[in-house]
Amino acid sequence: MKKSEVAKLHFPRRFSAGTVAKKTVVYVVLIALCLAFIVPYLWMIVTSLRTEMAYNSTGFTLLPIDEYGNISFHFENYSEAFSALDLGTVFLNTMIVCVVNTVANLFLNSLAAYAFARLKFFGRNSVFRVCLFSMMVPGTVMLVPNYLICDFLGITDSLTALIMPFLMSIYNIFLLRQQFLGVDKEIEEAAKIEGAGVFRIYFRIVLPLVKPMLIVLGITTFMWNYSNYLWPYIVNTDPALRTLSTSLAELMGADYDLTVKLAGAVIVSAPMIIIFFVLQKFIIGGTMAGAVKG
Amino acid sequence: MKRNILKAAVALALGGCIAGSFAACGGSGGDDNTITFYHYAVTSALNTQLEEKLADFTEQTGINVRHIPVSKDNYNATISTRFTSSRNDMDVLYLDQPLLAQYANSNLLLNLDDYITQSSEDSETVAADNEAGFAFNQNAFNSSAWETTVYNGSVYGIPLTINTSVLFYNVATIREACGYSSDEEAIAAVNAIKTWDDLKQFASQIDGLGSTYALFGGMGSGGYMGWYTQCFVGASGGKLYDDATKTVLPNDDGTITDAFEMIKYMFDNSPEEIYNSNSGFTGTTGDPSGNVIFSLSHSSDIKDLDVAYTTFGAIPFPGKTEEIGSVSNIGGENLVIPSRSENKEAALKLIQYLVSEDCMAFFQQCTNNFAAVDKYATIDTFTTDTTSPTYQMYSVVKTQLETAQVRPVVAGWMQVNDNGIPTNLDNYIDGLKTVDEAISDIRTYAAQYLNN
Amino acid sequence: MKAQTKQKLKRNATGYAFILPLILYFVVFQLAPMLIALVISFTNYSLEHLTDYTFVGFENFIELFTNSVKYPMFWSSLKTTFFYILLTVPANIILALVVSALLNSKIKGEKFFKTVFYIPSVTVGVAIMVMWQQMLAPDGLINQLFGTNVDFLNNESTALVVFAFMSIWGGLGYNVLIMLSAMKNIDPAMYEAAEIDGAGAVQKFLYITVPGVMPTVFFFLVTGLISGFQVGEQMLIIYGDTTMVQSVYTYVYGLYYTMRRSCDYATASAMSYFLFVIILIITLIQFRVQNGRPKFIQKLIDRRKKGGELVEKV
Repeated sequence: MKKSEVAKLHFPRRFSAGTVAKKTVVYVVLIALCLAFIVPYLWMIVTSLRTEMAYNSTGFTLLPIDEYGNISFHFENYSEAFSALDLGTVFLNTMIVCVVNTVANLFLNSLAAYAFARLKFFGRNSVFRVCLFSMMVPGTVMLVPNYLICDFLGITDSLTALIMPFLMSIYNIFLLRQQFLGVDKEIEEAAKIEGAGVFRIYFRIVLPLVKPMLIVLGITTFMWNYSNYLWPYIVNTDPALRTLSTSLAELMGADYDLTVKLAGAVIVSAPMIIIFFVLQKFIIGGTMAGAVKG
Repeated sequence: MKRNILKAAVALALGGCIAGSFAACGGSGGDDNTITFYHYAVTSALNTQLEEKLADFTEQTGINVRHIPVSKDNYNATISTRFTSSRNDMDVLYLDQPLLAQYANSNLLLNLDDYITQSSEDSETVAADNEAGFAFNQNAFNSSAWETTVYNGSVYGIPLTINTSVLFYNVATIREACGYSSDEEAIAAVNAIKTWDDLKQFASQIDGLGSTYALFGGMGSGGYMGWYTQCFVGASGGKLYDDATKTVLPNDDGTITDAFEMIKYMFDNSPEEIYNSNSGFTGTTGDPSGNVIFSLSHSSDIKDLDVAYTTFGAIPFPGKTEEIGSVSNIGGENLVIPSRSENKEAALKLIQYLVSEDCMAFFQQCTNNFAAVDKYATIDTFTTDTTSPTYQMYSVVKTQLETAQVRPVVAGWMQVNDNGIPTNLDNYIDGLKTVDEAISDIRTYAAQYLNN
Repeated sequence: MKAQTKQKLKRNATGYAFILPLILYFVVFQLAPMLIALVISFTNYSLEHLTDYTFVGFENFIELFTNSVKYPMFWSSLKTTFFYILLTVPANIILALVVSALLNSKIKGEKFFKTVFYIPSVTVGVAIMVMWQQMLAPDGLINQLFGTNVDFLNNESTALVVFAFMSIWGGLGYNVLIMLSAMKNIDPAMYEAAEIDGAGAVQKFLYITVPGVMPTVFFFLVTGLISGFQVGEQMLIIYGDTTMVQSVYTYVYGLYYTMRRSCDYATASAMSYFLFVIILIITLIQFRVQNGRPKFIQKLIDRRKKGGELVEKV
């Protein structure tokens, strides 16, 4: 008789020694993996509170100690990063771009996705297929031509140039269409009989049903625009039009102490991480739900 | 009712935001009295100083300057994209030396020949020159720096700051590696190196060269390697490109072979795993000696070598023989005016101001390079303590600048510098190619890009 | 009859009203750039010929493919990209499988772990790069931890591995979420049945979990290939345009060099269209496999149909 089978005979399953050992191994592995995620962030935050001198003269530490081993916090790194990033202007720019793009994306994408999922009109599938086809085009193809187009439209050197090219997303339309296809048709039929117009059915009835997906897409769209890096560089050069991402890249390229650079990285990444912690239930739940249905 | 309000709110928010962002655009450009100046980004403290300088300029001349700082990494891509725009928003810009030929060849830069004079620098002559419409006196500038602005016999830029490569050393490392009893002895021994043979002789006394110690810290990769190659080729008495015969790597006298062999000698005694670790050269507080004997680098590094735990120093890059003497490369930035700038007069005035005494010290401080105007190239900006190692290192760089040689100012050389030279040189160092194969492969590569 | 036509018209009008923004957007910011790039790739449009560019036919493509002197890195950069894909895709899949299986073993704190793994997915890309750049420096965290002294990002033998690691690290959270949701859709009854048969944890994992999530694995494979071919921006952030370590010279990094440093927009467009063709081929193979699956995948899916069905659409 095998050892595990003996255990099974003598103990109720959930208390068996083997299970406890296995669970321990699982926890150890997961916690070790967790450390690989927490330590870098912790290190970044701690180092951003030290001086470069202290950093250079000590070995590995996760405590904000100075060169003599005493705990000390150097918030002046943050004030320097604040002014280097030109945070006020840059934060406002980023928020304008992200909010407009997120709202526009959710509305316009869902509008198109609903049409592709539910409305019957001439050429629907062909249009959809052409759009899907464009999803395969790598983003780098677009950089130069899009600059030429924005130049032609006269919107370079403005926040509009960060908004217009990203007002919609074919990929999000694709995901939303899948969601709409999964919505029970009967609800819509009932509303139609009651005399509701197409737009009202879409906006008042179907859209609320896919709310979890909308939240996920909203977050990812927001995040994507928040992180967008190459394009803003190409299209806007005026420092007054920088976004958090480009401003951080500028900080990284200039001659600052490493501690100030890390302070900048903390400042720029903090808002998204905070939003994530606040909305994590929706984000994690929605991503998982989207994985199944999408 | 509620429904309509919601709908209207969404529409309003969307419309408002889009309209708002449209309104945010515009503004810049179009103003006759405003010029735009693109330059490398500096720290915020220095940026404040720059703004003060530019405000002074506005006060003096009535010309407003919109200045756009861009980080070095993104600078070239940013300005080249701007040239594809249908509208011009650049009047004065920094331009990396190797790019000048590329831009001038594409007819994108203003030819400055009419504004240049070559006269003495006494105040009367200067006043007369200004009267005659000459904005710049070539003789005031470092001559190698000036050469970087001359493409096909015409001047397309004004040098701003310049830099050159020398050999840095860590006294603690030298003392330990060569077994000297005192710092003075170590410093004297290093400073006796004048030729490549001296250098080899010096290297031969190091125990564990190639195993414990690396002779030098490598030449970087890509564009940096191309730039440092100029040091070796210049110091062996040759050049990378012969303008008269349009030959790449003219090697009839064997100078290129010698230079390449010297590079290989340096690398053969410098294991990558030793020099690719940071403290390999600088050492640390606990262990001031590193494992890298020399660092071939430029003055931007000096500020990092100002440490308490050990002394750093520099020697000029040795020549192959004493007759050739010390020769090195030149790097730095030029100021140029795009040919389509609508405000060329104002742009010229700004450049004049930027290379004046008022600004030169400031640019030295920003870039840790030297001013291209000879009389403003002073070490005082960096340190006033003439006995400090920092001062010694800057003065070696300053002396070296007198014999710094320019890389070929030829359209297409940038690719040769970035790819052709480093790739083939790497292959030669790794033993994949012979020196002749490497040279001929660089020539073949260059032929693809140099079409004149 | 007439009413019917009218209704049809109205239906079409409504449909197009819904997709009107899409059409406008698509034409201006998707279709037009694609066509412009295509046209550019057949010209000599570059910094040198901004106004006087001419059509050169297929020359840019032919030069890229055949002129190994002018573009010595073209094929080798593709090789580097392949190598990067080899480093990332299998590791991504295996890690996602293992970590999801661990999280799915009825442990406490599943939510906590998922959250922690997901943090890099919501961190700004440039910030992540700043963080890793400093941690991987010779005096950075990694070297301090292991007492080593390696310049990971500038060492030919470590650089690409490090980039692969960063990408695996950054993607784990998202991958685990997708994989976990696929695992949770496997019918628990199957595990119970297996337990009765005396199957251990490893056997259950190999014979129930893995076949059950096969479609997701396939999804990772395809998306991993597609995104793997587009790797380059990270290198650009770390190294800039020129300071390059040969071993991280990926295809798209080379494309950025051509575009940003050489300012040869025509060749850059040609390069991006070639990349497009590669991605197109991968996608077509994917469709092919999904619609007429090769036997071994079909077999795996049939075997665990119930678990697979829900996730198949992915």
